[in-house]
Amino acid sequence: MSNVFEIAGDVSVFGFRAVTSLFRRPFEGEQIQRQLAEIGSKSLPLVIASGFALGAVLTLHTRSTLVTFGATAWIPTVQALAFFLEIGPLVTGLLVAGRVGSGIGAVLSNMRATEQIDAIESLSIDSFKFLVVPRIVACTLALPLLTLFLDFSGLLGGFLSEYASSRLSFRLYISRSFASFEWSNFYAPTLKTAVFGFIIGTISSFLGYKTNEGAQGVGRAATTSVVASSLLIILVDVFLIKFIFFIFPESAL
Amino acid sequence: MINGRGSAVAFDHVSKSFGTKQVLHDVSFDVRAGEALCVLGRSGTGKSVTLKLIVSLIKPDQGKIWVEQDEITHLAESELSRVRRKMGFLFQDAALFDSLTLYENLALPLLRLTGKSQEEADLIIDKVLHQVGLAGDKKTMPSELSGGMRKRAGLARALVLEPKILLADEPSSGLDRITSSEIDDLLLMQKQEHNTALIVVTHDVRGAKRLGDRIVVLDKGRLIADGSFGQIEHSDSEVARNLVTE
Amino acid sequence: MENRNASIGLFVIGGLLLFGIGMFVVGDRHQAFAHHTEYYSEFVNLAGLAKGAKVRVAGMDAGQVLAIAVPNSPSSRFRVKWRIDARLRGLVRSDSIVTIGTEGIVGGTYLSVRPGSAQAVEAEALASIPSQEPTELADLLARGNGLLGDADGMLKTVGGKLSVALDGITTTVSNANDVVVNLKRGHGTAGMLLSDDELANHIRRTVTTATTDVQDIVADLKAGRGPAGMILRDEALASRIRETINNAQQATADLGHASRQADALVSDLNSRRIPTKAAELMDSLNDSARQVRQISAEMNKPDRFGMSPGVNIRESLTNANTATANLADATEALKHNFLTRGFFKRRGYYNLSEISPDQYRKDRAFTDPQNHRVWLSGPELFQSGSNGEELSAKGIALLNAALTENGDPIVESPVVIEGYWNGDAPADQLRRSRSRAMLVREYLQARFQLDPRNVGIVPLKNAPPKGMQRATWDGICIVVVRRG
Ligand SMILES: Nc1ncnc2c1ncn2[C@@H]1O[C@H](COP(=O)(O)OP(=O)(O)OP(=O)(O)O)[C@@H](O)[C@H]1O
Ligand SMILES: [Mg+2]
Repeated sequence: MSNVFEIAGDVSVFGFRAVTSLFRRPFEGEQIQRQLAEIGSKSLPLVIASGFALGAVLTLHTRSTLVTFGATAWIPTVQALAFFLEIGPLVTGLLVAGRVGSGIGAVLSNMRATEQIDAIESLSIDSFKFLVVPRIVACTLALPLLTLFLDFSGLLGGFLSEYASSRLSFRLYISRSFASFEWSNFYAPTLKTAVFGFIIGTISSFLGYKTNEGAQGVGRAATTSVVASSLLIILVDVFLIKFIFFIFPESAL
Repeated sequence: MINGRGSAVAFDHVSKSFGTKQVLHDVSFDVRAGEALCVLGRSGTGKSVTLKLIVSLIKPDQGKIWVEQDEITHLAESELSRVRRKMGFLFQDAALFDSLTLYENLALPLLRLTGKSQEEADLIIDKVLHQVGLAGDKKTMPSELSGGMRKRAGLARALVLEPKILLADEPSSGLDRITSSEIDDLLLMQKQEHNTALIVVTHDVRGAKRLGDRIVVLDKGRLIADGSFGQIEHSDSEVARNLVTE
Repeated sequence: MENRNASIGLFVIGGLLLFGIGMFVVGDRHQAFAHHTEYYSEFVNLAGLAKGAKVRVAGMDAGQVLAIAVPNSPSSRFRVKWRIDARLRGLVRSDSIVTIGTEGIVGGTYLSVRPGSAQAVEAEALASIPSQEPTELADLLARGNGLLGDADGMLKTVGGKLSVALDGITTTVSNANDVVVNLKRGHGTAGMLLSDDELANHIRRTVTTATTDVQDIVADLKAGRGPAGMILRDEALASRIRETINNAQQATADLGHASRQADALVSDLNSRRIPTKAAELMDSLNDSARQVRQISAEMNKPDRFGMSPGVNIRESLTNANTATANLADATEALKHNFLTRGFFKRRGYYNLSEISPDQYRKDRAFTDPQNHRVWLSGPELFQSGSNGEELSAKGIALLNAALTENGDPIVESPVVIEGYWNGDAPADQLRRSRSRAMLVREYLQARFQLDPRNVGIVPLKNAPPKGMQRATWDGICIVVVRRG
């Protein structure tokens, strides 16, 4: 048990160190770009495809339920609220934890195992700033953007599925989608994913960077990164939802 | 054994253990500028640890380590990077950055640590890659190189900064005899032309004989012999004698 | 390297763009980029109205509820702060009425602002606009049914079980009876009850509200929207509505009857020369009776196009029947609705009054020779009336003939009415051709119950579009636009 607290403490210190060293020179812009491409751009196909499929399927389900109540007009509203408030942020978080978290865990622990991190240090490059900070920054920046991609592709999927069954016009669909939106329903859940990104980046970097167990440690670091960051995202989400309600009371449905 | 006699690197009663495992016991030796020191020893006796201590990737438990004028065991990070700039390190498994091409592997230290322009850097990289026989592989990723090629690439990266002290962990292991003697030539040339101090960990007795001005032998973490190749051949220690007989 | 930057660019710019779009569409709802005017209204019962609910002015989405202040004692009321797009503030007058409405059975609540009269002054920003307590949908139906049943019962058995809505009438009439009885018996004091002006007003208000409610339902049915549209999905509700409207006819007759009775009663009283005190009482009773009569007369009066309310209601019923039948096959009806609706909107015009004649002439959709056109000449259609031109009897016959000849398409297709006036004064051409088109549109909409969104007008002075084999025209051309 004390082990859990110890790890939690270590991770916190690790994350805190990342934040403080972000503002010290050198800024490693080149590395941040590289990671942004790796974490953001390369996740786009996965995120867009998932969002689209999820949107289409969700509409089919809500449709059959709402038709029972004669409330088909609410399908876009329900769909958009579900996506922008919860499904988008959480699913994007979990997808990225799976794709990127495992990647970071594996790459960093492999670099440790093959002495690449030592090599970087021997070149007087701060390996923490060079390898860890850009990954955390890129995750933090990429997640809100990826979430938007997932949200909107979900909306598109929902629209096409709805169009297939009722020929609803796109304009009407969009206007009904956002019919009961508050400002905070849009940007608060989107921006909260930056926290998810920070969690994914920090946990998987921590596990990768600190693991020094050779080849089999690489696999372990990858798996643990995914499991730990997914769990933590879900946990933190609960708190963030409460927190957002607290800050923006009008965002409650 | 202490600074002031122009040593490039000096160990002063250094001990190191990992957990309960004592890896180095009270090791002392020194290397002068322009001198080549070969470190021999059986597997797992702490040779790689010795090299990592010199670049301060590991801190010793006891003793002092001098690199030229600086005692590095208690240096701040910024001071340390100044010291590290003088040294080139060839890792045992080359430790090339596998997300970068061969060219980028060499360009990274050059562009980050020196004020050289892109063109100057290109010239140096071309020259060094040519020396290690990899001129045609600039765009290759490390994963596409053979083990021997990787070793040479690692050496190229260590040489690219023109270090005053070159640390090489088994530069010729995994190479055929012709290539490994070419590598030895390269190291010798480096020593002669730039007055570089060499510390070379090796299992290759022929190479050690050709290269080493002095040989030290480690056994179970202790320094059991220190002297010229001939002296080691006639050392009291049986382990040392066995290590240098082909 | 180039490639990588491009992909980052795509990712970042794409993401930011989506963020912008999101802000825009959410903001569109909130009209965050428009100017607003804020008002207050007070309610005893909020009927579920919440912060952020829509505000509709004359049925148009115009803003939202900003805040609701909770009353601190039972005697004070909920104070609702709401805002609307400043462009609509001209409709909010000192005599506007704010009510809380419901968007169908599962819909949310909204604040409905009825535009005031032109004579009243424009309401100041932050003014308190008078409110009417909410009529929830269920209430409305119950009240409609109750009202009619009670009116019936009231006239037969005074003092029966009466609804809140009709308390006023009941009391009055039963009081009237009492008064008569008492007066006959010489007990003048019972008449005291009638000296109450407020009571008289209450009767008027109650009856007016009830009538307006029924009218609203009918209007909504005609337009196929609002709560009524929702109701149509439900067979049971639809039949209740039908019943309600049937009852309405009955009630109209009954009210007429009641007022005649009241009249007779009063003249009877008058003829007996009661003392002055009693005469005063009679004045107010007379007044109420007159009002009741007036209302019932108004309800019985034919509308502008000569259709009696009975006919109107019957037609609405037919429509309701058709609509219900259509809606039985819900998908079919939906499809139908989405295909016809907003034909003009799709072409980029919200209605044809926004399109200039030149634009109209250029649009292939309208000048398409495949369109069905009916040319009707001015002198045949119009006669001069008290305020300008009006449709002549012959004109009405012509229009009826022209449109029935063509069968159903007129009901389903977009229709444009081109107005022409070939008088001497070019300055008048636009205005006169426009007013002609408007006259015809009004008639057609009322007569054939066309969806207003699908009927456009365009004033073309005296010059038809090219390719019509007419250099000039004086009158009207009805264009049934081919969809596609
Ligand atoms: N970071 C570390 N943590 C724990 N133990 C270590 C660490 N690095 C080295 N050791 C241990 O120190 C001992 C010496 O290791 P070292 O790598 O120096 O051996 P070596 O002499 O280079 O052997 P080889 O010739 O096989 O490379 C080994 O037993 C190794 O297990
Ligand atoms: Mg070793």
